[in-house]
Amino acid sequence: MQGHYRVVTAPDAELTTNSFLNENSDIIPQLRMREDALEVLVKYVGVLDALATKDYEADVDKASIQLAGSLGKLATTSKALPDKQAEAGGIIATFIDVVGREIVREKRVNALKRVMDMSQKSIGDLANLIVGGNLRITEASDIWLGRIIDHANAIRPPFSTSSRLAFDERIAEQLQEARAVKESLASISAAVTRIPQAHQEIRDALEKKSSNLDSPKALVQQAQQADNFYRDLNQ
Amino acid sequence: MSHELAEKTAGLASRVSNLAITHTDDDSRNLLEIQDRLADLSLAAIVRDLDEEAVAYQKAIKGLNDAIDFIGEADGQIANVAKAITLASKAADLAEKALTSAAKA
Repeated sequence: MQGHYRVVTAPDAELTTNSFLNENSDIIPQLRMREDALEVLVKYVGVLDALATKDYEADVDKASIQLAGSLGKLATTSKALPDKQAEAGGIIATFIDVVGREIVREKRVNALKRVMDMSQKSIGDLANLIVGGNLRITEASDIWLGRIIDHANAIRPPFSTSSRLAFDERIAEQLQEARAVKESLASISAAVTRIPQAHQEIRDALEKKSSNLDSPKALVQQAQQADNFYRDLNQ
Repeated sequence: MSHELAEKTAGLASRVSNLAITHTDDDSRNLLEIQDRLADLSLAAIVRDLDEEAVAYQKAIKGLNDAIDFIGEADGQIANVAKAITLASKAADLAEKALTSAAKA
């Protein structure tokens, strides 16, 4: 939709290799950065999930390596952003160290508690970052769509002509895409908003003698659900 | 929601759109060009975190308020459309300056 917006609002000038570019208002880096942030969240709960398994050591190593890879990707992507969000890569940079140390020193339930305690605030920060970004993308899509519609109304072919049908079909595709984007973003935000509270509830449940270590699986499901929405959005 | 500059730039773009529809010829074309420019600026404002205390930011907000106040909720032809175009264009200049200043900071 952003690409179509650039085309319909382009000034009356000769085409060049730089036509339809405007890096200052490009929302794509925002989207990529949030996708990476969500991937970190998914990989983090993967570590928790591995900690909760019986043969945890090999799984934790594997999950930690995946988390480290995602953190590195997030750090690279966030550097492309022009504002304070570039700090996002640092929010959860301590995860790996904590997981690595605690596995050696403590039994896994204590490791799980410590990791979750240290990560609670970062999980909240990460969720706020993703939800805040979704709001920005929603605002931007409203502007794109508004301008696309205004320009379409100015040049729309007359009623009862074949060109009108083709024209309206293109606009209908834009409207459908806009609706899909907004619905997906709202769903991601709703799913991500629940994650910090779920994380805290699971941590609290670990204090109970009867608690089992299956509960991180619920977090995994929520994070993966949100991740799937982002993947749909990119298609 | 994002900050005031993004909201007011988008708000002025919407008002300019209403004027562009109800005017004709050069006035309409000028208003549509300003509207596209304001839409681009509001997108640029959305993706940035700006210092709301910065002088350039404050001037941009004042310029946007002046244009918004003058155009008001007009949805028909207005007597002094030339002044509306001047104020909206000036507001776009100030918003662009605020964004440029923030990029350099």
